[in-house]
Amino acid sequence: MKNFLLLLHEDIEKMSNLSPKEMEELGNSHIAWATKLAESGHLISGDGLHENGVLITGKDSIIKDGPYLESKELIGGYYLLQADDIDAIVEIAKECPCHLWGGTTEIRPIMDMEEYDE
Amino acid sequence: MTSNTYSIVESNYRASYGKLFSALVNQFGVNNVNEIEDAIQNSFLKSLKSWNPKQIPNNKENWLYIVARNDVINQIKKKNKATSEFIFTKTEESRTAKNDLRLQTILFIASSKNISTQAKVIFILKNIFGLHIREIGESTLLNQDAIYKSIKRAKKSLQLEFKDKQIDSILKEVTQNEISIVEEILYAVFNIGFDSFNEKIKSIVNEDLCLEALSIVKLLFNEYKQDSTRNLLALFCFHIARISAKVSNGKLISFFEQDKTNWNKELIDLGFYYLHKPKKLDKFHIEALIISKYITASSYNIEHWNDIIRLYELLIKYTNSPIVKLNFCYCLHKARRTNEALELLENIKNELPNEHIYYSLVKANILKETNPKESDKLISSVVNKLNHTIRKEYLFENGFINL
Repeated sequence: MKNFLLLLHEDIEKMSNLSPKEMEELGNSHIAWATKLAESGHLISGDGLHENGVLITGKDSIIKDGPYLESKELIGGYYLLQADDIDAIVEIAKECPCHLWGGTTEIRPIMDMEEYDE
Repeated sequence: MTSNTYSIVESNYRASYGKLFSALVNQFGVNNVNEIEDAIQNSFLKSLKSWNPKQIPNNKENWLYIVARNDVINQIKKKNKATSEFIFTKTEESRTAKNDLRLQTILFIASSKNISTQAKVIFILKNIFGLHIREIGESTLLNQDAIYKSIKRAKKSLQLEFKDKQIDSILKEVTQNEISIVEEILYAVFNIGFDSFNEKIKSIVNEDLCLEALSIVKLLFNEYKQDSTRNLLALFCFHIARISAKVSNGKLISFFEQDKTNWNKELIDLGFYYLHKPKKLDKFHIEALIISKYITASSYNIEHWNDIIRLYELLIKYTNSPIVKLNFCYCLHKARRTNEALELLENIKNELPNEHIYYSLVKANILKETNPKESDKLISSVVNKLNHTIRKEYLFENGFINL
């Protein structure tokens, strides 16, 4: 089993323009999806992220407070998943409710140093 | 982890929106209505992030309420830093989302002397029935810009009219007139839900909007026990009872072809329970009578249509609605009084916008036998304008168009 980080890039404009009913449907889709992944054993963890964060850059540790609204997209949450290979994760991620409203998902395989030992 | 680690609590964001809005407006006053709208939107967006099964709040509505309330308080604090203006908040902690204050809030909005009924309906659709401006547009065929402006103006008027006043002090004395306005508003909301043009829901009915309108009319009746409200309840029950039969296999079924066994018998019984001859005749009673006649008719013969016509003649004395007159025209035509129907149609023409969809359809139907060319022309103009697939398909499949 390999581990993967699934990052959810949300379209801020589309998200803030959802109606209560659409938000309810989206929320329920996420819960249903997370539950399904938990049942199939693919889910390690996953949470939504606050839009307010802090950026620290450089040797002088320059601090910049979020949200960083200059970008159209924002990482709104993540899932830590496990599967045999990236193809399996791609199939899983296709169904992520993030895509319903203009969002993009990004799959990043987690480095496993043992792979390079052989 | 198993699926049993949590359970999804039944929730209805649309109703929650109205409850939250009402609770917060009661607590913080109309001065902060913009902050309240933003706070509810933010709390809903935050709730989307709780997909982790371990983190789902048990009582979502209360969670939403607390998050939104804190958000409003923070916004007010920020605003006050800038203006150092005194803030007015109620301290009573009993005002949680548990107390449903939607009816009080609608009564309060209805009591405004400076806002038109249409603007009240739009404002209430957004803030009590939780419809997005886009959805109001889709359901009413009104332009989104116009809706946005109407809501903005309504907010300003409410703030000017009721600045620094507590809502329950305004509502100490509810007059008959205000109850009538609330009935009108709920009747409009119901009709918008019952005749939805929303392409996304692939239906012609926005059922949850109808059900929410019903539940608030029920609150209104329990509170003030008016005959007119009782008959409005009957009318809603008769309509909702037929929703499940209106669409079958994704196709629209006309009233006369509906499978009556699909009608909800309990709701029809409930409708008859509420149907009640009022001391003073009102339009809701007559409308409820008309629909009850349709529901119970064993055949739709001339006699049936003449009975209905008599009721319409009465109804027209109580309402100016051109739609009611259009229905009347159709009945006249069915009773083989086509010339009278055409004459009345000419009179209604100026009361409706040009090329009004329902007007064109009724006229096309009446002209179908005597003037098929004109009839076809009217139908094609409707089809060209209609984006709603399910309605278009109905027109095609029922031979309204000779392709």
